[in-house]
Amino acid sequence: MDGNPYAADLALVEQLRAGDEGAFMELVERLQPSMLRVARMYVSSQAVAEECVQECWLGVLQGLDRFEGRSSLRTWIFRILTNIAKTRGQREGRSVPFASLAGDDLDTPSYDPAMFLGEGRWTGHWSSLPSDWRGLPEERLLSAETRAVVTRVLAELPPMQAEVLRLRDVAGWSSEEVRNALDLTETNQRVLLHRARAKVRRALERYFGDE
Amino acid sequence: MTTETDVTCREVVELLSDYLDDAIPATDRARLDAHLAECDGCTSALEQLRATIRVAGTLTESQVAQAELEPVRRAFQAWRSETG
Repeated sequence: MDGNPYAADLALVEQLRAGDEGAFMELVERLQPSMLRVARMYVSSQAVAEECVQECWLGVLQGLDRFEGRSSLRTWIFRILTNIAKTRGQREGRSVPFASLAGDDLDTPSYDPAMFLGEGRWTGHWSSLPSDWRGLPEERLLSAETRAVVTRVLAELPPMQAEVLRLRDVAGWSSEEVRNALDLTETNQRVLLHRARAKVRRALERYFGDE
Repeated sequence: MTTETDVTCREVVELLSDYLDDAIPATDRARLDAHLAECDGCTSALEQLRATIRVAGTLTESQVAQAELEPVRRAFQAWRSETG
């Protein structure tokens, strides 16, 4: 087990196999909100999403012996969940095109094109500079109101964009974990995160600029 | 600002997320580093993105009501009594 980056996960799996309910429920509490959102992308209702998550946990418990630590535990759990939710969605006759989850705005520029020079030697360079946030007081940057702005934007993003940002930047997962958990290509993971971050940044820019 | 043969600011801002994730090839990274070193606008854009990620990092996941977790808890207890 030496050197395995998922040694802590293997240890947790041992605890679960030994019947440690506290350790299990802690894991459930931590992952449940995200699992519900991910399942909901593929199925028709919140109730069906809840069933998928419940089925996933049963699958996890029954499959604990087969977890080998070749991915993180949470990635492994999300793979099981995604398979269940996708299968369930298909049985419901739902076909969910990737574009409807990812959004159709992946090529939108991060900054207003009017902020760049259009012609001449310096085409593509700034015509008006973005504001410098390094001067923002810490309590302003991290205020409850600022965080509420971010929460609002996340609620409006296409679900896959929002989830990639939540897992990467809120929950601190690695890009590889997110890619595997959500069944995304490496490129898609990067593009979705870039787009989501760009939209949040833009909302913050408006918010800081308005005051 | 850099020379006209180099990458433009409009292109740079689309690479900053990957730049922060260390997800761009070394040669492109060197070009970006060189650009950032002399471009105040792109440096501000990079700092805006850093701040954005920092704010996101302070969000907390919504809490799930304990009652909603009861079916999972019961499933665990049933599984434990079967396997134990």
